[in-house]
Amino acid sequence: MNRKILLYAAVALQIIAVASIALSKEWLLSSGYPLVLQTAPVDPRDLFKGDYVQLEYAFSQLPLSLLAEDIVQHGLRKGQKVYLQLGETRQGVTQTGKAFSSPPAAERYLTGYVQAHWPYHNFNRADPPKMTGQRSVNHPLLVHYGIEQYFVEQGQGLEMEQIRGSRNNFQVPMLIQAALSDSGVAIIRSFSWANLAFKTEILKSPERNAPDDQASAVMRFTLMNRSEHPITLPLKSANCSFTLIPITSAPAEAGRFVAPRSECATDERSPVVLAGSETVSFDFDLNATHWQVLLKDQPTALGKLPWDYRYRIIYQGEEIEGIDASIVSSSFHGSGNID
Amino acid sequence: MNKHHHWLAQQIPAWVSAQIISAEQAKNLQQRYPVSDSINLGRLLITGAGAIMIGLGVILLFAYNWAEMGKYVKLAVIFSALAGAHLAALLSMHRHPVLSEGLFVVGTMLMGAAIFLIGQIYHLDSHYPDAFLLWSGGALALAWARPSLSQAFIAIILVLSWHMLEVLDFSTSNHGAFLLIIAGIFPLVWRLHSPLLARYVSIALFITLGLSISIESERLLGISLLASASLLIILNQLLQFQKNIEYREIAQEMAKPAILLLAIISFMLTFQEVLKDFIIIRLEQNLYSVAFWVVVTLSQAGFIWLFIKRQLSLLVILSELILLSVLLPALLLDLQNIQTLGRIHQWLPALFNLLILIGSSWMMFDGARQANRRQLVTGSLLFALLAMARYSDLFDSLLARASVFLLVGVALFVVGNIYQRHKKQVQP
Repeated sequence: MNRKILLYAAVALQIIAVASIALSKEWLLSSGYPLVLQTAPVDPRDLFKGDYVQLEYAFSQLPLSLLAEDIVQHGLRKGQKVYLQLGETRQGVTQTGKAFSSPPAAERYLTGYVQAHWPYHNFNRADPPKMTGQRSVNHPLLVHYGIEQYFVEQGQGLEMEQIRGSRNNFQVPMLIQAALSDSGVAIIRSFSWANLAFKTEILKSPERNAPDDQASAVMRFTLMNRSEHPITLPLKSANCSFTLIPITSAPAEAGRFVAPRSECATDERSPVVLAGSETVSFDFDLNATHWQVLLKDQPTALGKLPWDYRYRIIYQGEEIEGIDASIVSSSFHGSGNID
Repeated sequence: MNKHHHWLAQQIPAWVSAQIISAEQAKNLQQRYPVSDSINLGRLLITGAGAIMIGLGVILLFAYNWAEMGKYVKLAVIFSALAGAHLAALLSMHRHPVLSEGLFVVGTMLMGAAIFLIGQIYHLDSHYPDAFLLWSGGALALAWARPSLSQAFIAIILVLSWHMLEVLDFSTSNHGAFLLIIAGIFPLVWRLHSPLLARYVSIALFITLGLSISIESERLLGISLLASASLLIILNQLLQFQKNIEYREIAQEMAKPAILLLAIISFMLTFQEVLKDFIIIRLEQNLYSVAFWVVVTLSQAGFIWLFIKRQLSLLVILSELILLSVLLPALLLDLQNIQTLGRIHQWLPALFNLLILIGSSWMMFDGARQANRRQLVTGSLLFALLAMARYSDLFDSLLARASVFLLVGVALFVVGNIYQRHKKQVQP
């Protein structure tokens, strides 16, 4: 009789153990804090693996500037937890802040797992002086938050890839709606496509061995309104609502531009109204002096920088009503090579 | 060994009837040579393999991830299948034990399918080795409750999968796997009266131990595995003088992977670079150094005990010789940093070359004389492997290389003939 009870208990254990996972996830979906996370524009060739979409976020790679002091001091081992500060929602997307090695008090945070020892590969926990003495912090911290896979029916991935767009065409950001628990665990609820699409292209490539003042490319960044409703972009004149930011894996020096943009000193406005399916383009001549970067204290043209100095164009103006994604280009090198 | 027990169990009633033995003696024999209540292993393996295939098929079927099928429908289907398989297994348990065993295996496979389906439905991409831990827990629970050999084997595979993913993908030493096998699976050997399970538990323990050490104390990996293998071989010899035959069989089965490991390590030690890795160890104040000392102390205490009791076997002496040949230089180098031993890795491989050469030659000729095919083949393979390994790094001239081939060829030809001759003598 006892043996029979034990057997029933073992069978029940199998069923209850699995059911409890489903129930806990249902509970999180219904009661979790809502998040909207924008996936990073990545090369679509690497996007799909089998029957799931591999998602990457801007905060999947955290540069030194976004790491809390305790992480910088002690480093992180592969598999360790990190806690990413969550901020306000802008343009419909949840903003993120710094990463900590312990949960930040009185704030919402997203819990992730370190994907590779930081700051260097052969992390040796037993020898911390070695770590602080010789580390290289140029590489960003790679973090996995458990929301990097979106499973789809076999074959559907290709359709999604087409919507998402390719390198030389318009790319539509994929927005992930997630639910967040108090302990920072997130679960994907659904996804949607942004109502804006972006295209990054080279308008003019530099000649080989061109002088420094012609060594960089002229880039064009185009926005398309995918919705049926008109969108008003409250832009400043001379493309001053946009700026260049280094990608997270670029060295810290990549953000040291030689001078502020003089044409942006005034607050002159030139708003643009984008009707449904309409596009608007913005050209950026990277040969302009203000885009030069101080490399080893020498002003250097973007086109002459090492290959890991890569940038994106981002919108940093005031809030735009009616859009649901951050405006950000694909990453590129100053010589015009687009990722 | 269980087939002998089965034969004996069938014979005993006839012996009692023929008054060859008394009823009390029959009872004693039955207790001494128990027959496990597990069902026929061959049938079980086929049914188990079929059940595993069904389970994998279901996992792949759900992996298609039909968009038209709502998540609650998917959940209902998989939970119905899981509960249905177990229910059918419970209902057929007494009338069709083999079918029931297969259905329980299908149930456990469906548990895995359900875990992965839930991961798919909720787009879970968190710490995925946990899925294997949970799954192994389900298999282990059934292995105990039934008790079931097939569930025990599934549990071993799943615990090993969990451990490998933790170690290889997340670089964690994951001591839990070793403890789970020791505390959760190893006692099943007695519950199931299965020395065969003991062999696979032993293999699983060596794998988990090796992987964990490679993460935490890489410098102790080789010597720790060698010391552990030596301990199991000595334990086997100690238990051979136990009255309980089951203990003896279990110890024998557990020692088999240890013997294989010892042979592999001995062969590896014929290479200078590998031997260097074995003797340059780093003992630190950590769990692995403590565990290493415990294993070494136990094996040496066992060896001394066997020596005093004059119960040393050739295998035990051989394993002790191999262990000490590596352990002593390693400890002297680590503890005293004796410079004179600095080049020991250059001449110590000669000892292992000699050891393998003598050992394999003995196995070949003795195997041929005894008409023992397994021993002959093992010895010949070892001999040929050694010749091939030394072919490139010892012999430069073509003449020397040709001599090696001739020597190996002649040796194999001679033992082959001796074997044939003795086999004819043995056969009626």
